This record gives sequence, structure tokens and C-alpha cells, in this order.
Amino acid sequence: MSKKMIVLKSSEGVSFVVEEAVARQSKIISFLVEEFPDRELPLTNMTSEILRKTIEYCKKHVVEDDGGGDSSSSSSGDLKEWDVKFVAEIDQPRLMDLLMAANYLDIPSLLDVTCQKVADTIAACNDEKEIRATFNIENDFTEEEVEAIRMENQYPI
Amino acid sequence: MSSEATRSSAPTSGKDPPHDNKMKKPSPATEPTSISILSLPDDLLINCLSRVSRVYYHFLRRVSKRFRSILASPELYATRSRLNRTEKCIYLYIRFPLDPKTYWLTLSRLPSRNIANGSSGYYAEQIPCPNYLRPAQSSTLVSVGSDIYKIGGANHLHECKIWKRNYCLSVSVLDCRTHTWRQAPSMGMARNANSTATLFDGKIYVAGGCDEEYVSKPNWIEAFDLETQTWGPVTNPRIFRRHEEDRVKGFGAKSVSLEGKLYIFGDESAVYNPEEGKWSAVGEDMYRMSRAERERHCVIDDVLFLWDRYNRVFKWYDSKSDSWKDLIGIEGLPELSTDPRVCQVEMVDLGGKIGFLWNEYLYTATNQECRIWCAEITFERRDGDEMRGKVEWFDFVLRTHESCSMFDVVSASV
Repeated sequence: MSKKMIVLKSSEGVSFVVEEAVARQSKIISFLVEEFPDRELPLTNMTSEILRKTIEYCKKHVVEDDGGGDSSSSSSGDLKEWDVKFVAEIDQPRLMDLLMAANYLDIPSLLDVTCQKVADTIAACNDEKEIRATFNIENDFTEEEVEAIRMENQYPI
Repeated sequence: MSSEATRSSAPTSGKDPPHDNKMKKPSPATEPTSISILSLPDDLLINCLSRVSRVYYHFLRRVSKRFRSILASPELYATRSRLNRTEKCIYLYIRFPLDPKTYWLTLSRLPSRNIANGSSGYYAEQIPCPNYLRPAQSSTLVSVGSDIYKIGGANHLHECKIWKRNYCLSVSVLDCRTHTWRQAPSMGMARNANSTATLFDGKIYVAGGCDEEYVSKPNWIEAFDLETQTWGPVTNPRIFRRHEEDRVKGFGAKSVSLEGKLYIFGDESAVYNPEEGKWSAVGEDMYRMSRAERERHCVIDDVLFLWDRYNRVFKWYDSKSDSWKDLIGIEGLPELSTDPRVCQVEMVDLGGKIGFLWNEYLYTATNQECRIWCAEITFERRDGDEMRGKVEWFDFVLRTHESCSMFDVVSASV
């Protein structure tokens, strides 16, 4: 039996043909497939690049039902290792896009790994300045506030 | 390119934008987007920050106003709890004989790349403490979730007679999520630091620490109901006294919650069984347990540990055989002084691990200082009656003035 395929369309209008089981890891797509079978699903707020990444993740994580019960395509240890590599290769701005895509498409495991990657990156920063530089954050404290913050942690002895 | 997302990146806190706005506008295919972490809606930023260990929050607070406001939000701590990221955090409370101020510190950590070779990177960082808590020479501390209750102790100097100044009714609470203080309802009886406080069955049981004349009063033991936020007397506790020489300091007591029962130790010891709703004397079969009262002790994962300062070993209480057994496999700790006047030790629950702290006075030709050290010790039970421990790290976490006279340690879940 051939596998059912569905078509996802990125914001640039690029079509991606994906196995339904792969795409259904997104709860949103799962819902849309049932509501609108046999239709292209336009994802107007996702670039091709992010959609490709998302599909790559879903392909790796799909649980295949091959008749002999559920079996993941990889063992859970391998999968974890793969996840680490997967997010390690993504630069910071794209990580934000992917995180928001995971949230928008409602893929909990992808949201989990992307949020964890952000957390790990923050924890690895040297100081608040490096966090600002890494994540493109503007320092919006006034000089007085900076001084007040400095004082609150000052140890007087 | 200044993208849409970058320009609209500074919502302060509170409401999420509608779901549709969460995604940025479609951008030209070839143009890489450069969006700030601040363009994430609150729930996603909270999801990220809640996964960062609490020991790094001190520098996260200095990043931006939005970071600061999120780190103080209840939602962040609810998410930490939901994602199982709640950590037991160490709080230190230190005192100097001639200084009326109270110093509160929490254990923080330098970012990993800043850590020098051989250093753990951990250090105690001061947190704000309001003036009304002065002077606070000594109090009894107990943690309830993310709150630390500071019970009794020294009162405002001008409000009471000099010999009464170490006793008070007041209860202050430190919310360890926001590092803000509030007052809780006062106790029925003024107490000093010789009191004991244990969280048990939804109530904080406080015993002892009061003036001798009150020892037969019904409020000798009282309990704070966390749900109703009221103090009430405890019915039918056994009355007991500590040793004669301790009485000048007020009646001291110690308490632990173990295996579903509340134990209070004094000259005689009593146990409260909530199923029967009554107090009774500690039975012969648990007789040796009361040794914990004389040593620094702590209950972790329902196991009672103590530090045997003469033999320099940790012991754990095996209630099945009513005996104290060595925690084996502990290596690498420095040799601590056996004299409690020279070396004070403290033990806290670090969430299934032992937090062990001690002080050391250093006198050199040019410098005198007090150092407070901390060790993290994991343990596992083997074959039921053997417990093996391992020192994960130890380091000094605070260098302070040599006059540092006492310190207390408590851990809160944050």
C-alpha cells in the first residue's frame, strides 16, 4: 500500500510533498488534514528554509506503524543525540524561527528541543552583555537603573 | 534590514499577542531574518528561561527590562514546576556580633567559561533585605516550597528590654522567587533561635525557644496552618525540658519529620502520629534516633542524616534496626575541626542530595577572614542497609569578615 502524501506550501510558494504520518506530528496539520483532505496546505508564515528544517525533524521523529506494532525509526538514545546535532547546526536567528514554527504548528517535542537549545546557549554566555549580543537584545536600562541593579548585589563587607 | 519583528520587540510583560501575530510576517525568500529573542511571545520566552538553572538568574536579571520582569513573574515559576525544572536553592543567613544588619545570600554560579581551573564557580551572592528585619541576630528558619519562614529571634532594639531582645513573636517570609519579604501573622509566644520549626502535614510546627516561665503554657508548641494562615495551639503535646545549662538560653528543642511522623526532641522526646492524632513518647525501638538532636542533621528523601563531628563521618539512621550507619564512600573533604566553636557545620536538602556547609577562619600575617564552604554530596542506597555517598564538588562560596559569628542555611524550592 502506498503511503498517503500531503502537500505543504511555504510563504514563498514552494511546495513540499510529505508523507502524511510525518506531517501529522504537527497537531495543527493533523487537524487541517482531516478538515481539508486532498488540499495543499499553505503555511504563509513559514519560509521554505524553516519548513524544510521542520520536515527534516518530523521525518526523523516519525513513528512508523509497519504492521508489527509501533516502532520508532530510531532508538531513543540515538534520537536524542540526533536532536542535539540538529539544533547545534542552526544559527541563532533561525533557531528563533524554528522555535516559533514548532509553537505555531504545535509540535511539542520540537518546541522542547529548541527551547532547551536557547536555554543552554544563555547558560553558556559569559555575562549579560554576551546574552544581549547573542540574542540581539537592546539594553533598555537607564544609567540609574543599572546603578540600582549593581547596588542590590553589592556585598558591603 | 530592520525587520518588523526587531522593531516591535519590546513588549514589557503581561499579555501575549494574539496567536496570529506570533509568527513574523513572511519575508523575501533569500533574505535571512534576524529576529531578537525578545520577539518571542511571553509564553515562549518563559519556556526558554525556565529551563536555565536558577544559579544563573543573577545575570539574566541584568539583560533587559523584559527579562527582569519575566524572572519575577509567577508564570515563570509555574512553568519551571510544570517542566519539572524546580531546583532546591541554598540560602545563607549570616550574622556579625556588632552589626545590626541582616545579611541574606543565595548560592549562584559564574557562567561556565568564567570559571577558573579548580574552582566550582559557585559563590554566595547577597540578596536584598529590608531595614525592618534589623536587627536579626538569630532566628529559626524553615522553608515551605519557595518561601523561607524566619521565625522569632531578635526584635527591634528600641522595642523591648535588653534581656528580652532575642525573643520575638514576629514571622517574616522571604519569597525566594522574587526575593521579596512579607510579614506572616505573629506567633502566640515570643521565641528565640533555640526554637525548632518543622513543616509537617500542611503546618509549621514550632516548639521551644521561649522563656522558662512559659514552659508549661499551652503555646509551648504551636502550629501555623499554611492554608488558613493562622496560628493555633497544639493539643496534648508532652511537656519536656532541656538540660539545665541550656535553660538560660530559653528552652531549646529540635524536631524532624520522618516516615510520616513528627518527632520533637528535648530532655524527653515525643512523637506525633497524625493518623491517631496524638502525641506519645518515642518508643524503645526508635531510642537511638534522638542522637540527631545533638548533632547537625537533616532529613533528605525521608532519610535522617547527621554529621558526626568527632569521627568526621556522615551517618544515616536505619529505623529498621534503630541504628546509625556510616555513609560510606565519602572522599576528598578537608579535615574539619571537631570543635563546634571553631567550625560550624550545616546540612540541607538539595533535592535528593546533601548540601553540606562549614566555616573556616583564616589568619595570616596580612589577612584575617572567614570562609564559608559548601559541598554537594549525592547518595544511593544499596541492598537496603548500605548507603554510599559521593562528593560531587566542594569549594568555598563566601569570603567574609573574620567576625562572622554564625550562619544559618536553608534550601527552598524555586
